Amino acid sequence: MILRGGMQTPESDEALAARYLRGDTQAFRELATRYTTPIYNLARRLTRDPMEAENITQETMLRALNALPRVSLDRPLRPWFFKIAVNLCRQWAERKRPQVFSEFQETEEAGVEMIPDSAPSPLEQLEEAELQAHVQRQVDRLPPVDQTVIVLRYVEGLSYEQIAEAMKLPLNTVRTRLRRAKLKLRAALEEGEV
Amino acid sequence: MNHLTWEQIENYAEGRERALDAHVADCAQCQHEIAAERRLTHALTRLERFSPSPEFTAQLDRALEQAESNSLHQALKTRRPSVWTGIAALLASLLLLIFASQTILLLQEGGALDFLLLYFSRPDLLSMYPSESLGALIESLPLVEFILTLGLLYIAITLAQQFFGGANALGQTMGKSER
Repeated sequence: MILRGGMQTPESDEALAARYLRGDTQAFRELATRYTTPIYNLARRLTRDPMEAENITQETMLRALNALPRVSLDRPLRPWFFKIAVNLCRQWAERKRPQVFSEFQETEEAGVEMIPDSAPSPLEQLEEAELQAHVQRQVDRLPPVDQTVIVLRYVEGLSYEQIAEAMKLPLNTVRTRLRRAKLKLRAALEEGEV
Repeated sequence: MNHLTWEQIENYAEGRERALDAHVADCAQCQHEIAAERRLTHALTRLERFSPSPEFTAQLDRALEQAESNSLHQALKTRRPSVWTGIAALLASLLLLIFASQTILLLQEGGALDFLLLYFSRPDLLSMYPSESLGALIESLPLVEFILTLGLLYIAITLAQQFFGGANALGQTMGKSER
């Protein structure tokens, strides 16, 4: 951690990586701690298997550790970590479910109840929870590529450019994928399908 | 009335594109689109986040420790200064000494050294016959031996750098492991 103006701000990924490359092994542990949950979350979502998600997370960290000396620290490391994880998920999918990563699979959709915009009352809170659960189910039904785009964008906060880098996809493909996935989700929400 | 594009709706919902305020204020359809976009974004940012078990975190820590230790062994293996490099550097240095002394002898025997002495003591003499002087100097130089000596010098320096560079890297790696 670095002290700046009396406040503690987390050290950047790139600064941690540089520290590791200068011989501070603890710096990589900090990076690993930072990315373990996001990568596990992504892998768990895509594989739906906690054991596989753990394997992919561990392999991601080991590969990152070995490849770090060859990585340019001029660019953000965040997409790079996800790139390794997405590749491993892709390889897993090819082994377990051929073509699942490349095909846009249509899945059954079910209805949902309509929901109000905001809600402090108990009834509204319940409806909010139902909406959340419904969105969760709808996201789970998206093809893995679209799920990945959604998670990287809205859970991990990556920019479109960073998503394109992490997934090795053209920027326009990322935009199209995201737009299509969101249209599906919105349709499911608005039309009350469950 | 032209409605907002998908991208504009997304940007507006995220608090950008404030220049579109006037249009949004008058357009019920765009207001509906923006509200739907905000609702979906809100739900997506609150998607369930899976966390690994504490056991896995501990296991990952051990795996990283093991990997770091393996990479140290690998570094020791690859960065150990080769004995053969050292021997080669030594041989190259010996050959360099032989060729260098041979070159100096030939410089003396061929008259190149005398020629140089003359150049410094009687520059006026040489300036009177510049082309003849240059020809005489070239003839007196043991060019082949000179080139061979320079080549050996390059080889000896390169080998010595490899040998001592490996030794330094090993020292750094050892220091890193101690920390």
